[in-house]
Amino acid sequence: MRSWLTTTDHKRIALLYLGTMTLFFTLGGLLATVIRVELATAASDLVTAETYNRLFTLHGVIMVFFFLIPSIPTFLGNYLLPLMLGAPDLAFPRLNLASWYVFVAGGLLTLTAMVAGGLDTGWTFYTPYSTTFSDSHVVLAVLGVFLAGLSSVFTGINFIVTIHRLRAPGLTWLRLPLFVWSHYATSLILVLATPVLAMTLLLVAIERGLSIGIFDPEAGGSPLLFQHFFWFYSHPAVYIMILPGMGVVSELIPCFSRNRPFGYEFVAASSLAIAVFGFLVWGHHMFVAGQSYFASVVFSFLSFSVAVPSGVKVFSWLGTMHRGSVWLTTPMIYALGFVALFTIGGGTGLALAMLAVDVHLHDTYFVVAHFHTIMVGGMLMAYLGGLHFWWPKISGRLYSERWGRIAAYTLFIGFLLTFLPQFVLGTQGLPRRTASYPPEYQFLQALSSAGATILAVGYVLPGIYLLASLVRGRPAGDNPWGATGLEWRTSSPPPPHNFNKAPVVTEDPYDYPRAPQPTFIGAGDV
Amino acid sequence: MNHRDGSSPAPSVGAALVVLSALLILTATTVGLAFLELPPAVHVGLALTIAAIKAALVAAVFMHLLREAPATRLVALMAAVLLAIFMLMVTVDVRHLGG
Amino acid sequence: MSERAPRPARIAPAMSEAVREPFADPAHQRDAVALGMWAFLGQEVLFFGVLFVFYTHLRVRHPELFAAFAPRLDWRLATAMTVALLLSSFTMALAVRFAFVRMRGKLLSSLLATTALGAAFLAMKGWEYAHHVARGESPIVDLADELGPGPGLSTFFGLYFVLTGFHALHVLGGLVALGWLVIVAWRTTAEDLRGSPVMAVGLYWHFVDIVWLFLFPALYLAGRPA
Repeated sequence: MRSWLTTTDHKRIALLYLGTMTLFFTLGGLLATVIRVELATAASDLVTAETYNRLFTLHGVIMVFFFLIPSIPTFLGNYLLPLMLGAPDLAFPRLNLASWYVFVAGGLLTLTAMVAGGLDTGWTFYTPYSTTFSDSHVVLAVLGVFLAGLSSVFTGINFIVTIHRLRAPGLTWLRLPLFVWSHYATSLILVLATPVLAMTLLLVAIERGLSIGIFDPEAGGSPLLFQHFFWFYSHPAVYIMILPGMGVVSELIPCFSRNRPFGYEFVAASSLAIAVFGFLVWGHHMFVAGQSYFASVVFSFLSFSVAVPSGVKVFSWLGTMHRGSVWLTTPMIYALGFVALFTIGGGTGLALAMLAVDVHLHDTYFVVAHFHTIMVGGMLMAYLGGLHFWWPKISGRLYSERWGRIAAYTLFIGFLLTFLPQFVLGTQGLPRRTASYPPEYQFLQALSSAGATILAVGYVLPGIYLLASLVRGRPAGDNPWGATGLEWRTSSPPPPHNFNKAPVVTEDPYDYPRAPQPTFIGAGDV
Repeated sequence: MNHRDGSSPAPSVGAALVVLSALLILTATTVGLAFLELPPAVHVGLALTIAAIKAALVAAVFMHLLREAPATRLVALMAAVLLAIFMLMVTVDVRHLGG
Repeated sequence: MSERAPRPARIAPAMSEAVREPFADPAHQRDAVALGMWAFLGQEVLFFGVLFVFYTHLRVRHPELFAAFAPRLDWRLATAMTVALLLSSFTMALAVRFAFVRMRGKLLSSLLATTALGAAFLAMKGWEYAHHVARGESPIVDLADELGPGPGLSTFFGLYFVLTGFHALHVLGGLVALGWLVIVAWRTTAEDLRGSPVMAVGLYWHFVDIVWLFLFPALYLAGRPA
């Protein structure tokens, strides 16, 4: 136990993150369950409107700041980056451990706020409600999120330095796995955007204590200023969540298509382009908030341009499968689910980027469905796909392929059933964040709640069979999928310094035509 | 002394003295300019320019940015450019709102 | 997994004093620390950047506040504080040099000089705060006091205290780090001095100096100085 809490081994720290984030995900999921049960009927009969406000706020805060943002970087990124680079550890191992402690401290503060009575501002902490009117535990919660942000900054710095300075001999930039490229872009956003949120949240806390008037027009400030600050971080944060997921999918699809990624250089560059454009579109969250028309037009235009690099990635995935031989294993099902849902989520995002359409759809269930399709459908599918892909490497064991596929399909169906009705609800004009609603929306809401039940089953299943594999699973071998990449050249699980002999890279990445044969024989097929 | 004087990234005592003198002179200049009868926009422009020159001097020599690897210089540049964009867009929005 | 802490095999034993965890040699480590520190400072730029955007917003919307209240700030004292910080940056740059060439005595005296100048800055800042609070120039006064309801004295001094307060906290953090460097240098022989930690603290210290170089004209020279 003590050796785990004082470890500087990136692999162990990654597992500490996995454990912590699974707890937060479960908590956020339970909150969502209560929300969906409440929404199954039109009246607000299970919880009061005040409690409902607290439920969706905590669901958002916990899921966004304590699961979605850290999930892939701090778990898979932490575990895999040094392995993929052929390095013995991250550049600053003690900073890495410190980032976990800061993360846990932030989580505990937020949980304290929750136990003490919760907060009701929505995860966006909009002023003036958060600074002046809300009587819930805003200060505790924002300090918790502040610490989570600090932890992200530490992780980002560590990744940037590691990718720049600890690559194995021969591992040039254009030989880096696409997972590494996407984590590099993510780290840039983590380091350069998170401080803006950190300071903004501190200013909210200061406003609550001193009422200086930073966000108060009566005293010369502006609530719009808060929204500028908040979205300057929180829009790039969307790419913090989705870019690592794209990185995972860019590993899975070449491996299970047994093919080189189509347009490797373009996919790598598109990660950086998404990071850059992601910084320039924050104003599209403020179209109806009183922002100037001039700024709205500029932000609307820039929001369309961010779709270009995302489109490059989708076409690359399709192109990779097009000439490959697709092998439909559990991770690949998740990867395909990601591509489908990301395309739906991205397309509906363009609808929202249109100024006139946004005026109609703003703050409706359409927005809820849009970002859940990107975040849950996209990001979480990629997370689970990555977890299933690298689980044999991390644990050294194979899980039940049959149950893996059942869970993946369950999740996909459950997801569509939950969120497709919400798109329709939104276009019909149902506003979000209300505990009760007019009865004519009852059917679609009930359908969504039913879908959420299936979704919940899809989340519980992997927890069961992955844990069971630790006890009953067959040994995985070093490279069950016949994948390229340095992480597959060491043992499963890897030794403390990752490699018994420091690797040297002499070939291009993703040389699948010449990759080793898979040793994995799944549920009756090859 | 021990090995490799060239391993120190920091400036020599002489170079540091030159930079310090320049910084002190620029400080005296910016204080003096603040008393002149000039339009407000010119005041802001001059003060900002002098502060930027001073910051660049500190970064380039005291913080040995000029001797660092390209990646390090790029990270510093990105932060500065991003802040400029942030400030520009918010200012543009605030000005276009009027009132 | 084994219970052993990770220790890279690539590090030659002779260098184990100077080099930590995954780095191959001292130059490699210094380079990585510099990059990491600059990335950290990049995030600091945007952290303080929010405050400067807030400042710009107020200056564009309410220039009259600056004309009315900026002259109440003491530009003479602020000039003295600027000089103190510039001198401390100079001594800090020397400290980094002496740490890398392993001149322990000169390293200690430059570190102590930097600490003293930083402490002098904070002392002046503290005196200034006490002076303003005593005159009722703080964000905590009633809005109706000066210009009637609306933006007024408390808005300007709210801006002043938030901007300089975050900066002063950073100076304080720098002083703690400097104290730690002094203790380490005190306990180490010249041969075992490590340059990278001094360099990292130095980069941070210079950055805090740079923030002040912008705060000084932005606040103290904004109105016509009295």
